[in-house]
Amino acid sequence: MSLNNLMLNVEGLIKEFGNFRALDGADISVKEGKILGLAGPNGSGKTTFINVVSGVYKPNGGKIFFNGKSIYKLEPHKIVHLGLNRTFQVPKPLSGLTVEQNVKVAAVYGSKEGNTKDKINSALSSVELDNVKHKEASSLTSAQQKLLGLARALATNPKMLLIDEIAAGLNQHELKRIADMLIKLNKFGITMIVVEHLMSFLDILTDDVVVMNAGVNLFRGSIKEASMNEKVVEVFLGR
Amino acid sequence: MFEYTVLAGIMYGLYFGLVGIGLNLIFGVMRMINLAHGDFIMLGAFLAYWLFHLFGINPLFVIAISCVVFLFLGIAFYYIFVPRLLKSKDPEMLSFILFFGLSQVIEAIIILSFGNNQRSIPSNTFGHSTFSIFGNRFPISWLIVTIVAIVVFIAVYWYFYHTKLGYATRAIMASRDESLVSGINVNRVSAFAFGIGLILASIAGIFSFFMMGAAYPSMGTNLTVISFAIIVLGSLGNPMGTIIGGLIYGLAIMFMQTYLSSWSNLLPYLLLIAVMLFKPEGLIGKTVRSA
Repeated sequence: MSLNNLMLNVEGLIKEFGNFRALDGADISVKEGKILGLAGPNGSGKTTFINVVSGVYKPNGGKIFFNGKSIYKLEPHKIVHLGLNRTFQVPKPLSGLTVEQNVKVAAVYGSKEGNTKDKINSALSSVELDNVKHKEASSLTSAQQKLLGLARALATNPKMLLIDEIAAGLNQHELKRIADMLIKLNKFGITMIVVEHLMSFLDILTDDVVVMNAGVNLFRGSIKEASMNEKVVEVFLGR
Repeated sequence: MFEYTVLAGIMYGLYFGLVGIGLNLIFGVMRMINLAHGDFIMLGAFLAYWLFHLFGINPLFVIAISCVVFLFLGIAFYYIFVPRLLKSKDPEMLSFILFFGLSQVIEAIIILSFGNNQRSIPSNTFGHSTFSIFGNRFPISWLIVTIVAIVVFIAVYWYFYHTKLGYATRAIMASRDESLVSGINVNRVSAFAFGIGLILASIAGIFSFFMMGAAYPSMGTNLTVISFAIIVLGSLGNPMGTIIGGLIYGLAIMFMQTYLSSWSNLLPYLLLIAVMLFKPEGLIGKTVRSA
């Protein structure tokens, strides 16, 4: 893979929690404009990978380059300002603030480019939350809170998004709706890593999937290839 | 008597809201209980005492000085200790030890420097006059303290709801992680909020002479307990809720002192137990839907 059009390039990433290595030398890269699926069993290090790359956790080793610039141990707000943002598996909307105010905080602090009002309106309409913008964020349904997390990230004008299990707990209709939104955002030029348990969801989004296990990447290829790979099958189903 | 008790309770309540609001702001932002809160109130009182007795500075003017001193103290303290604390395995637990230690150190330094005597500023500093509400007469200093408390509450409200920094502070109070990835420099905003928390404590200290009689180095522990009871009563992590907590505490203490004075020292503990049993989220706390 040529290095010059890599939006994110992670090499040998290590993250330790005490004696436990949650990431044990993960190598993952994504080309500009692409969607990469990140799959793996529980505890394989997917969410830790997102937490470390987005700066929420500090790494213990390895290299992280975003758009050719090292973001290793960079503070999260500086990573956001460079154009890399993420959503959370369990969204934590800013309770006490309305949906619009939640997005406004990100629009004001996340990026200096563009008009704040335009950024808020565009982010809310992208995730179809404009009709509930005056509601208090904590009163939204689970699916709406996940979309609010996405809108909050979009308001910071990201070049790349790390999406953490956005489909978990959603019904088929909501899954299809969110998959369509992500595809649309990708067509507008946002590169993505989508962490997901549901292979069917990833299959709609991309044919480029990395399977992780025990903190390292085990496999990269299409979902069809993954389903035929002995190691991947073993990791998901056991021996 | 009943009318007097209610009116005095409201004035005391607003003052006690001021006593607790800084603790609640710091808890809201950092999710840590500043066990040295009462000691910062004591430091505010000693600052006012010395400035009054050495230079004759009126306590009202000490507010401006304390804003500068305690903002600086708060920001410095935050950057020296808190980022390291947050990197630890159990920041909440370690923060108890850190702030308890800080409380002991502050108290010891003041005792070693000035002795453990009670200090006071004359109650007639704001004049000898009294004021009357519905025929009940109160010292003028109570009215001034009440006005100061109301002005401070309005300023805190204005900060939270009408400033960019206030929005960021509310965002951090709601979710530190979401704030981090919203592009907010969480450390900078938290340090500023910590400074504001200490300023609020110091303002409560400046006026402690007029509401509690005297200041002394070991007063901090008791004030921390009272503040904690007040913020739990209102709603932990919701600074504006402290006003409600303070009012209930003020009214309750006045009624206790009027009708059951020998039991009044038990009040903060009784209120804490009652809230924990019947409304642990605080009187104005709300349950939040989680995805």
